[in-house]
Amino acid sequence: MAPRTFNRWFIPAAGLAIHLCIGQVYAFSVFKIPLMSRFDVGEVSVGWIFSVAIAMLGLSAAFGGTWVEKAGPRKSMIVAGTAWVLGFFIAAVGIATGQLWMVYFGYGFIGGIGLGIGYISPVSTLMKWFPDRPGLATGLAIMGFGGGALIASPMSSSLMALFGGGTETENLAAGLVPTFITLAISYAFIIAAGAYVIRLPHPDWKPEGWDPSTVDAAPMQTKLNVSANQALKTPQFWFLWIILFTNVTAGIGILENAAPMIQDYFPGVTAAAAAGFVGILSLANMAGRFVWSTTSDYIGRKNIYLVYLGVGVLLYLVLAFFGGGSLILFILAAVFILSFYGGGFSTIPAYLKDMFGYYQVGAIHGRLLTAWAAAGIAGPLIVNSVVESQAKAGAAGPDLYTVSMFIMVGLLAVGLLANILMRPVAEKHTIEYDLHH
Amino acid sequence: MSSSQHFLDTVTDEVTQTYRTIAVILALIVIMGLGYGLVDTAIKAAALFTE
Repeated sequence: MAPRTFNRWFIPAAGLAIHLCIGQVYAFSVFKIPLMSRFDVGEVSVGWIFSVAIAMLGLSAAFGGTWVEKAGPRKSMIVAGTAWVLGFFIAAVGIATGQLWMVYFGYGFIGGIGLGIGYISPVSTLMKWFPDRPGLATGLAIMGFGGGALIASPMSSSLMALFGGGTETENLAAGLVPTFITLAISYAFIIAAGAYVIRLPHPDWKPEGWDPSTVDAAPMQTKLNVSANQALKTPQFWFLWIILFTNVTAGIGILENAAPMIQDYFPGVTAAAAAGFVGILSLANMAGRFVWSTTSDYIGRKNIYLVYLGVGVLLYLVLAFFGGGSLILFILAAVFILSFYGGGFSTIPAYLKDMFGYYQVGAIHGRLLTAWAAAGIAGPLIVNSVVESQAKAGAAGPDLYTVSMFIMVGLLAVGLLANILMRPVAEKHTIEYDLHH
Repeated sequence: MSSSQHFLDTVTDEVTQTYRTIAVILALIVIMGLGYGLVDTAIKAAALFTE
């Protein structure tokens, strides 16, 4: 626990540290081709490593959330860091000995547990440090999950080339084991430092000049508390589940197919330029996590989701009707959609805090992340199946995507309706809880 | 005196120099890491307008 007088700006770096480390999972695609070469298997077999990791993220966040609340941020960050690092080491042994199952078990299963626990571990602590700006707090931490891939992707490529002695596939495959070990050691130090730095606020501490009674004045921010089990019995939890699911599905639909999509819309776009488009979307995803979540502190959580979902509907309609007409219009619409996708992730813990209070907000957040897992399956499935069926029907260019754009519009409209229906939680669900004891 | 009150009384009012040093180093690592990732991605993204 921190002293009574403490500079709270030490804490976001600790939260960011673990999110930047575990965010590596989104850069897993850089290992795909070297792993396929090392094990002499196809894309699907290697793809399962990532899928197992993401499935374990959802499961461990959902089932481990209550424990994270009880254990506190330091212990949970140590457990998450241990699992994440151990996962890398086990995977490295698997790669060295040619045992693919060890990579599934290490990176996928054990590492995936680290992902889920690590994702939720600093979030509620940061909100306790920033009761005046919970959106900024969650935006800072969850921005790291988007940023992790931006760092890990070029770093992993450089390490594999360095250890393997070149950039050919066989060189990269030869550099896999030392790269995994180097990443594991780096992550171990950074997460350990983060766990050392993170602290809970002292009960007598509050932000300078902040008046807790102002919370009463905000109509959609409760001062009451709801337990994680009780939260599942409220319509608000399920409305938020639908909101997160629809927002993530809409974003993933573009993110997963960004490179082929821009080339289908604009045949003159080269492969390098398409990769640049993916880079722009990654930046938009990361920036949106911080900018929109911080904005939600000023305009309110319900209003910011009206923007994500309502403007999202309009942007998808723009893409469907006019996207093929102008490259700049296409890029701008996609950038805003991806920034809303990132913003949806980082604002949801603050929305949960507003609805259910601080008591078990980490545990409730963990359970809500099942919507992410479901959207991770639904988003690509919708876009890929529509593209396939349209191609079979003889469509080409932008026409391949038009139907999936309209499906996304429909999904976002459902999310918008769920957000409009959000009301404060009924008092019968709440319990007595003192934040500081 | 309750055990939680006793624990709170043991919390000192100052952070140690070691804590401050590690926190500052961690913040620098985070800032440098983000800077590296952002610059690398921005260079790749520029290809969209130059290719």
